[in-house]
Formats: sequence, C-alpha cells, structure tokens
Amino acid sequence: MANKAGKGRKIAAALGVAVFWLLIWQLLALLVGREVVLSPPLTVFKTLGEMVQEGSFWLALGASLLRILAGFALGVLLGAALGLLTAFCRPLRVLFSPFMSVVKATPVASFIILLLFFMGNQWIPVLIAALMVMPIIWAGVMKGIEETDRGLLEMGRVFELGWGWQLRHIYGPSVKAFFRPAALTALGLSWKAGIAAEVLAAPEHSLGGMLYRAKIYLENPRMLALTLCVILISMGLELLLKKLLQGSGGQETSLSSGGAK
Amino acid sequence: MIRLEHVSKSYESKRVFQDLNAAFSLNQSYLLTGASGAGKTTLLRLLAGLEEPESGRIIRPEGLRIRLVFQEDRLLPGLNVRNNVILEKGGAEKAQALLEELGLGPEAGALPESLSGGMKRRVALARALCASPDVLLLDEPFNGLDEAWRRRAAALIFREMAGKCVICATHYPEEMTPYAHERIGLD
Repeated sequence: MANKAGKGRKIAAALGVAVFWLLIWQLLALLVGREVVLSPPLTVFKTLGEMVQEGSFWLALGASLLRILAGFALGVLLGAALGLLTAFCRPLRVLFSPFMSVVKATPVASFIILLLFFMGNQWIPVLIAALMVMPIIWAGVMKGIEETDRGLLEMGRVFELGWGWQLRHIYGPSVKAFFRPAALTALGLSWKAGIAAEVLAAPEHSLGGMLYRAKIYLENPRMLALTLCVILISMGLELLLKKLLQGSGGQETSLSSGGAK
Repeated sequence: MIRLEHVSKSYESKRVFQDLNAAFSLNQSYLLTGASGAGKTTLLRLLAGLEEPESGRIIRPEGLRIRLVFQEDRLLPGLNVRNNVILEKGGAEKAQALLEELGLGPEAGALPESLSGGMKRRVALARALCASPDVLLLDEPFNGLDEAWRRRAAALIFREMAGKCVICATHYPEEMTPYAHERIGLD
C-alpha cells in the first residue's frame, strides 16, 4: 500500500517537472515569437503526431537504430577485448593508452569528415558509434580488472583454479560492476554521436538525414519533433539496457563443473 | 619433505627471516607459535608459493597439492556455500559431507554474505579440506569460532588429514596441541 502511494507520488512529481519545463519552452517560444526559430510545444507534438504516420519515418528510425546499435555492439566487443588484453599485458597497455586518449579527445566532427573520404556514408554512423563506445568500455573493463580483490586472486592461485574459471568467477563480478555504468554512459553517447554522424554523412533512411533536411528547409517544428524523438529513444534504450544488465547481474548459484586445472 | 634452506625475507625495512632453515615432513603436523609479527603468516605464504624468498630456496616435491586457509575467509561472494567449497572437479559429495559435519548443511545453498563470521570461517575450512591436499596450511583457522566449534573443527581437520602434513598458526594452540607432532617457535 505504502509502495503504491510512493509510486503515485513519484509519477506526480515527474509529471510536475515535465509540465514545468513545457511551460518554460512555451514561454521561450512566445518570447522569440517566430515559429521558424523556436516552435511552441503544441506545434511540435502535432508535427510528431503527423510524422509517426509516415512510413519513411519508421524506415529511418529502424535504419538509424540498426546502424547505431551495431556500432555500439562493435564498440563494446572491441573495448572489452582490448580492455582484457591491455589489463594483463603491460606493453599492450603502453601501446593502446595514447590511442584511446586520442580517440576520446578528438571531436566527433573531425572523425566524420575524415571517414567521409574512406567509406560509404551508410557505414560512418556505425563506426562513429563504435569509436565513442570503445574507449569507455575499455577503461571500464581495465578498471574492473585492476580493482579485482587481490585476496580472491591469491585464493585462486593457491587452489590452482583455471584461468577461465578465475576470469568468470573472480574477475567477472568486479568487471561487471564497472562495465554497467560504462555501458550506460557509452550507449547515450553513441546514440547522440551516431545521429550527429548521420546529419553530416546523410545516409539514406536515417533520422540524422531527416534532421539535416528539416534544418535546410527551415522546418523547425519537424526538426524539434525529430529531436524529441531522438531524446525519447535514447531514454528508452538506456532503460532497456539497465534492465538487461540487471538481468545479467544475478548471483551465480550453480556450477556445471569444477574450476581446478 | 618440504625444505627451507637459508631463506631470508623482509617487508620494506622489516626483516622477517634471516637465514631460516627448516624441514617439514609430509606425514606430520606442526604448530607454529610466536607473537604477532613473528612471521607465521609469512612462513605459510612462502610455503604456499605466494611469496618468494629474497635469498635461499624452498624445495617442494613436484606435484604436491598445497592448500591454504587464509587468515581472512576469502569466499567468492557470487557463489553459494556449496560451490565455494567444491571449487575443484567432482567434490560435490565430499563438500556436502564436510558442510554437514561443520554444521552448515542447511546453509549449502546460501550466499556467503548471509552467513555469520564463524560460519564463513567454517566454509573456508571445508573448502580447503574438500580439495584433499597433501599439505594443509592453516593461518588462524579458528578465528571467530567458539570453543566447541574449535574442538570439532580440529578433530575434523586431523581426521581428514591423517597421515598428511598440516602446518598451523593459531592463537588457540590448545585445540591443536593433541594432534601436533612438533611445535615450532618463531620468536
């Protein structure tokens, strides 16, 4: 009962916050007074309502999701693999650390412009998303391995537990703890950077391409409706990933086989 | 036989051992005594291969199974009690029997975080015994156990390790004294 009341209060508070910011938006739109510069919320919602009835919107949305999520997955795989390698091999860490620093510090636009010379515009958002994700996951995995309980590692050594077993049961929980926040940060970043890459590379069927066209045709309500859509999808993806990572974080209670070498 | 020949070991500026010579027979039990800081834990860690001597050498027969009960429990938080004890292939039945004897039968499926300090200690003991080692090193194995459990645990250790080597450092020597063949003072 108390739980239900608490949930109700939370929803009411969230609605209150949403209404507050919508009023600020409305006020700003009134102050600007030109729809072509800043459309009011109602106009944007109406445009969004019309947009979701267009088949091309759903095609663009699906293609953007596919590209950016593929990039995210690629970035996670590369970042995790490199994180594992560099955590256990010092020369590799020395070799890759400056590369990761450069990737993190380079503006997304520079990467996009550079990549335009090398590959088709369909692939650029994939690679940009991967590049945004890789250093974050790499750092998370490295930190997880570095922070692994030394006492448990010594126990593994004394009990002659296999490397794979130690990786799963000793390093694994520590890496998971650092991987979760890293993956959540990386997902949001890859989505934003992927859309930015679509704006500049303008691949066929893409939300970024639609945003670009809305900008050049001065369709402000459409531009804001697309932005709203990008924000909502980002929030949805984050929520989904949180659920997925919670599911994978369950405690291990059974072993198929022993771990000794 | 495990032999320590002219072993020296120090931590930062503190010298723990200087030219230490010792021999441990593989079918005898030893009780290590000495004040805190005398080097009991260091000696056990050297014997377990977790530390290397600065000079001298430690000679162990090839393929010797050495297991150590650490001063801390060092249980895997994500594995239940049974799986913490098994660790090695095919030990399920032995693990269950050891847990029953140590009064942890009902807790076999529980995670370590739900256990008391004394229970965790008994799990750590069961884990080392379940591995059927040739040499069992014990670093304060009775921490957190009351007198009755200390006695039962000592009896279980020496029943399981009969004819093998046990080297134990403890602040409760009275429980181990009846079983130890030799007492080694490290002061």
